[in-house]
Amino acid sequence: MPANDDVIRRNNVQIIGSGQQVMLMAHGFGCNQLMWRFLTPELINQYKIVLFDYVGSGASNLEAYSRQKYADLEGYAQDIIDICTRLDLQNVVLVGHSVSSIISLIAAQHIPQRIHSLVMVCPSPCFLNHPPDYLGGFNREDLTELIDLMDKNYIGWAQYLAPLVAGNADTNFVSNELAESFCSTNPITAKNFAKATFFSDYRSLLPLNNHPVLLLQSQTDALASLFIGDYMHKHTPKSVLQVVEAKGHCLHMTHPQQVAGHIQLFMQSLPPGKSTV
Amino acid sequence: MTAEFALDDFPTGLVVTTLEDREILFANQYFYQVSQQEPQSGARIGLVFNAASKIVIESFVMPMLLHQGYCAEIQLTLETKAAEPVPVLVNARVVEGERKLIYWVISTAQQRDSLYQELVNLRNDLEQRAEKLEVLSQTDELTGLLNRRAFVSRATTLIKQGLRHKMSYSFFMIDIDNFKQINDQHGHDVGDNVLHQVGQWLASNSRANDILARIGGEEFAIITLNQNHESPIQFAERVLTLLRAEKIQGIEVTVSVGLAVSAKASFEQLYKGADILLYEAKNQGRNRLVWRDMDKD
Repeated sequence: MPANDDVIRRNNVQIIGSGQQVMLMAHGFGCNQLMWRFLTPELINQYKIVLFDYVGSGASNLEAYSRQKYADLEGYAQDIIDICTRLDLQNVVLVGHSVSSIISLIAAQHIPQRIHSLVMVCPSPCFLNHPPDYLGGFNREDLTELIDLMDKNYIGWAQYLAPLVAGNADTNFVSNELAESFCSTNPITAKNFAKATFFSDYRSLLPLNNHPVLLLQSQTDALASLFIGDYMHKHTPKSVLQVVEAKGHCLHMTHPQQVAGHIQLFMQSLPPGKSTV
Repeated sequence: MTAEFALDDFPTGLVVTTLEDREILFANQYFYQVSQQEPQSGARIGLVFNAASKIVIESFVMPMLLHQGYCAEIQLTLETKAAEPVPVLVNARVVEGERKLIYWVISTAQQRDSLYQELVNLRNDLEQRAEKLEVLSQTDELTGLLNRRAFVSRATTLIKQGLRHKMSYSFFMIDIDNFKQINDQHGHDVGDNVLHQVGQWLASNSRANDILARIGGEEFAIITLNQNHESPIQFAERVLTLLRAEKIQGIEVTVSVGLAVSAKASFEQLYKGADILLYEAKNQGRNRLVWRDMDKD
């Protein structure tokens, strides 16, 4: 566990807005907290919004990266738990995009007393097909090919190879290149995140949910089909499913107003949070 | 000007889609040729890519286009009707007019893909070698246990972490008695075998989280976190009793054990403490345990 003071810097935590209730937004695989910039203006007047980058993404502190820890979604959930604990957040609305919906769910089950509710934007509990009952959308070969494609899309070869050739594979393996780019396919951090995301199966976690959940589903989404939205809804107690009239996997970027509208309605349907940061 | 030069003649795929639906509004001949598609009204560009590429598009390409308006040199794979998928390089940018559009340039990249595949293989190979070297540099060749360097590094980290949480640790220093005589009487091969077997025996009797190493000629060290089910003294006595009962290579082998226990001491203090206690065990006639709780002085 990191020393308390480290968490803010480690996860590049940013707090904006002045509302009473806290909303913590967790970015998905591939990008960083900047992906929330379209949605936050819609909610900033009502909420205190906590943004962060997972260790290994965005401008997080890469010295805190551990291949082992971040090989499972539990490692990412620990980032959320650490932030909530460090800031002593209460009644938090966890907003997660894609895989972060499940990461938020894991976190919520560890610190249920701090969590008010969950908002899941285009979630999927499992991307793999498990026919005949579950169609996550992808075969194992597709996902192996994804890892291969990520390798071929990596830009910072030199920075990565140099220490490896020098027999120094452990240290300083990632450069500041991550901090400067919005998306990263770094072969260690992003590939590890890809494996944790796309090869995992957290379907068994859904029935254990004990918080109000808003599921925001896209009409057409290459990563999370309508079937998955229905599946999430059927298996997650206390969940509400809203199909947004839109296409694509990044509804919070393409349709921030609709997403914010659904969040507002969902929040109005629940008892308000009691306290703040 | 444009009438003279046809877009269809460009040796690269040129496509214009809507931003929201990514519906193809225009595509040149080359695009249809490479993707082996027929022009179709309402077709979406995503359909020409394979499943893995769809993930890359949703996770990288679209967020980049939405955030910064462009993305460059993304390698994707076209799913064609023929058996071989076609690797392509994609550049795209958003153009905002009456409606938001994406302009795509899609170039085939078979040779670049082969080169990258070689690089990926090379990197994987290097990675494996680095891992092997890492293991080798930490291992004692004779016993397969950690060597002294790895032991010091791991134990120092463990104890530093443990001290913050007020954990109590035991440091066992275990030395084979009269090892020089074994070597002199039975030869170095037998001596080596004795070392190997004592190492194996300690490994099979210690717990998964213990740090066990051969730290010198005939000297072994174990660091364990003190837990309730077996006290460190019981563990040390068990080691002594079991070794007394067993012959190794037909030889009666005994050990002396120095044991330092503490929830406050640093690694260096524990090491020094256990070393002194081992020395006392030797002085008191060998084949015994001498221990001390370093916090009770």
